[in-house]
Amino acid sequence: MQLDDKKKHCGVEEIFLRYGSMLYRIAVVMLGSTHDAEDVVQDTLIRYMEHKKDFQDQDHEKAWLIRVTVNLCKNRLLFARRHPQVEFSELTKSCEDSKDRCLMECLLKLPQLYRTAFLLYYVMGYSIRESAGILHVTEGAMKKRLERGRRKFKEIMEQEGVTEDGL
Amino acid sequence: MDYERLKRAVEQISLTEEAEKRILDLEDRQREYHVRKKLVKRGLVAACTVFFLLCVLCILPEKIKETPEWGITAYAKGTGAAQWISLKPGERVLLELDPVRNRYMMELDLPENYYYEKEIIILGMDCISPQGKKIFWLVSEEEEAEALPDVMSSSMYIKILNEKREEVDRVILEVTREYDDCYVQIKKEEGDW
Repeated sequence: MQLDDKKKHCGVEEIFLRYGSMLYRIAVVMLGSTHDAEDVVQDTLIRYMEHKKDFQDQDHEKAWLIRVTVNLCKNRLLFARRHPQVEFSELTKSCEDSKDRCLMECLLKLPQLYRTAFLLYYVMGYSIRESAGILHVTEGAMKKRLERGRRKFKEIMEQEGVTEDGL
Repeated sequence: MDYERLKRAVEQISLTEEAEKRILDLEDRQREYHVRKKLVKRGLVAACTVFFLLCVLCILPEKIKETPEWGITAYAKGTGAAQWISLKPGERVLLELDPVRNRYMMELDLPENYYYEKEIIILGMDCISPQGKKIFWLVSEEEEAEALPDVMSSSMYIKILNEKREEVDRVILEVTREYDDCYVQIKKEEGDW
C-alpha cells in the first residue's frame, strides 16, 4: 500500500515538473490570487492521482490537466463566490518590464470568460478547435469569446492609458 | 496588438520554491479531498432521500384518497371452483349460480350511509334487487326468453353519503347477461376514483 502511494507520488512529481508552472499560471491568471492558485494546482494533482486515467499521449494528458484546472478555478469562482481579488502588486511583480506589467494588469481586468479564452489561445498556443474542446464549447463560441475579448481588452487598455504603440 | 508580448508577460509568472513545496505536500490536501468527497456523497444521498420522502408525502395522500372505502364481493367463477371474489374497478367477473337456490349473489361492504338509486333492475326476465347489503340476481325459470336480445346490460347506482348526508362517492355496478352467462363489473366513471 505504501509502495503504491510512493509510486503515485513519484508520478505526481513528474507531472508537476512537466506541467506545474503552466497550470499555476493558468490558475493565477484565472483566480487573481497566488494562494488560491496553489490550492487549485494541488487539487488538480490529487484529481490526477485519484482518477488513474489512461491517456492516449502527452497532449491528451496535458489537455486533461488544463481542463481540470480551468474547471476547478471556475468552481472556486462560482461556488465560493470568490471573485478575483486581484493582487496586482503581487501578480505583476513577476513582470520585470513595466510594459509587461501593464499588459498583465489589463489581462487581469478582463472578464473571466475572455481571460480563459485568451489564456488557451494566445498564451498556451492552442488552436481555436483545441481550445473549444478543452472548454467544452463550440468553435463558434470560442471565436466569439476571442473576438469580444479582444474588443474588451482594447477598451481596458484605453482606460488604463496604454497604447499599442507604447507597448 | 502584439499578443506574443502578452504570452511573454504571463510566462514570467513562476512558482516560488516555497509554493512548490506547499503544492507537493499533498497528504493533508488528499485527506481533505476524501472527506469532502464523502460529505458530498452523503449530502447527495440525504438530498435524494428527502426528495423521495417529499414525493411519497405528496403522492400518498392522493393515492389514499383514490382508494375507495368500500368493497363488493360476488359469488363467481374463480380459479377453478366458484368462490366469493372481491371485485376490482373495471374488472368483469363471471357469476356462478348459488348451488342451493337459482340465483346469483353479490355482497356490499359499504359505510353505514348509502342508498340505491334504483332499487330493482329488470334484465329481460331476470330481476336484480338488493336486500340490505346483499344483492340477489334472480334468474327466471320461464321459457319465454327467445324474443329477448342475446346481450342485455343495466347499471345499479349506489350512492355513499357522509354524516351530513352529502354524497361522497358513487358505486356503479354494471350487470350484463350474455346468452346464459351473467357478468358483473364495477364501472369507472371519470372523476369518481
